[in-house]
Amino acid sequence: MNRPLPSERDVPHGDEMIAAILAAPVRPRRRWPLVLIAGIVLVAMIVAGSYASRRMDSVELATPSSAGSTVPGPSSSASTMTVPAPSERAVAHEVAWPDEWTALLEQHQMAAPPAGTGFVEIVGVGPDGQVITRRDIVEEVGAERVLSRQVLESSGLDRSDTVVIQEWDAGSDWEVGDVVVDGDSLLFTQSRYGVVLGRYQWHPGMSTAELVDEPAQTADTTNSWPAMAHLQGQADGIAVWFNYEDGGYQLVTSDGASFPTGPVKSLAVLDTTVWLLLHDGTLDGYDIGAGTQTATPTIDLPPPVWLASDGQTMLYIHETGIERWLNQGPGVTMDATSVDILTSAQWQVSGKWASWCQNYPNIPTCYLMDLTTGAYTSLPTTTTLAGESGVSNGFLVYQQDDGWSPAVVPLDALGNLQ
Amino acid sequence: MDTGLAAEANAWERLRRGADPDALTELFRTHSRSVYNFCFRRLADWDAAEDATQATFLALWRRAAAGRVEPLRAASERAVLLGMARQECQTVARGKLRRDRLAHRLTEQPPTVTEQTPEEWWEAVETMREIRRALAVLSAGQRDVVELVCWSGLGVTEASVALGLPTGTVKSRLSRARAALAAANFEYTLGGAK
Repeated sequence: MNRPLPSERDVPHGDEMIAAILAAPVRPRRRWPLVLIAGIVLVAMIVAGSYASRRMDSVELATPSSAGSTVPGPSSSASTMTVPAPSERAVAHEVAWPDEWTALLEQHQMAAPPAGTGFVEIVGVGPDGQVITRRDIVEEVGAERVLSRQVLESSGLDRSDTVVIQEWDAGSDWEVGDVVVDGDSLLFTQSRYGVVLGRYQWHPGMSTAELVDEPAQTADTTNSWPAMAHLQGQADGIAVWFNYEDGGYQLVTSDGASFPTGPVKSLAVLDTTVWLLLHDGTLDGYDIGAGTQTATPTIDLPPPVWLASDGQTMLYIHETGIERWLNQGPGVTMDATSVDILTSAQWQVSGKWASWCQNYPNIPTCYLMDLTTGAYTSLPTTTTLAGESGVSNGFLVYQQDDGWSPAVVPLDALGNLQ
Repeated sequence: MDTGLAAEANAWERLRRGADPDALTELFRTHSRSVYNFCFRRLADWDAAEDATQATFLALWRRAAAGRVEPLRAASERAVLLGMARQECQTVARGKLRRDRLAHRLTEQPPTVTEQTPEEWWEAVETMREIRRALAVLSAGQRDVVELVCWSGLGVTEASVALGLPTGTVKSRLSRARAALAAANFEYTLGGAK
């Protein structure tokens, strides 16, 4: 035990980092007089029967004022967009994990994947409950362990076998980046002298795969360095961003538009707007429907700590609440002061269900929330893999304590959480 | 309490009273390097460590703005910050592992850095990845203790605060970790590297 660790470094661009943190939007500390006034107003509004419809009139995306952007400027006639205002209100409250759900987990537990050296990760759930995993096969070559190939696999709800969707020979120039399941498609980034997006059309059972779009979108990597690719698949669009050699980031959308942005913590898509929460806490919005329009949202809400969407619903998670916006109508505003949102992450949404993982105080715990009632419950596990739990495509994916074999439960089977 | 620790505690107390930019800046200047390198050793990735560092101090800043900074329970807030950083690393690691591997394979060249040559940059990353693989012989709890006590220099009491564990548990995990690493012929120092 005498070889040294790598030498320590100073934080690069520390001055810029602290400046960005201090400039991040934060919710001002509450003052009692304001709370009192707000309380009086609240009571008056409830009495008037108009509270719900006035909780948030609109969310506007205003055009940016900064110059120097490489993105074509928005047209003046399309400078704002409106997100439907929530019309209902709920209060988040924690309830015990229902006993009958434990039986459901046991009923839907799937077999472990084939044994072998490598790394296995759940990447999504198909429309029929197929669990899509990816596995890196690692082999010993001489004294080194090398990645020999990557495999996308599918395991069905009602069978224990595993079907190989596609293998990539890591010895070639191909390697899989992000994979997401989006409705009936499986989207992925992959590399071949750059990064491209591809799309598999879904087949029943996913025993075969047909590459229908390749590439759906190609990043121009001629003179760039795509250090990071993050993919979000949605019904109306694909958002992907890359980190380039010069330190910039770029959002690329399915319709061919691209926008400069910053490092992204989470993103969501609602209608044709891509919402980005940056690591510095700021919010960006891009209208991919308008093709060339870029916008900066101004919202009369506390700054977000996470964004999530499933194509139909978008969750805007802020310090004390959850705003649920829907494509086709108003959503719900939820008072979530009982949730330690500041230490939560990995929010996911699927229909009326949301999931997230919370890192505080010390043991990662994942939760499941019924957005129609505000009731939430912790998944009964203390596994360090809790971050793999979540909701996807109408299913709850629950990581078992044995290491990784999942249980996949149709969310419809859960009923309501009161 | 010496002068340095008193100043730290003062800055922490100012943050407890509200979002004081000077206090956060002071804490950042004092501890960002420690947090950054802790995150690097946990993630084996300089970029991810940078993100986790920013997320750690942003979380503290937001807590200060919300009036939710907790009283200092350790001798130094470094233990609290490393505890927060540990959680942020977990969040960052969930999404970045593959993207970073992809990037590495694609480019085989590092981004522009000012303090190290490209070779030093990747050598550090590769070395840290090798160390992380070697640490797989330990349980997650034992790895936490090694990272905080051996590599980041926290005392057992401070580590217990960061991890929310009794000091006895930290001690036993540390002892078992040392034994397991010795048995596995772990080649790297457990004494930290400055």
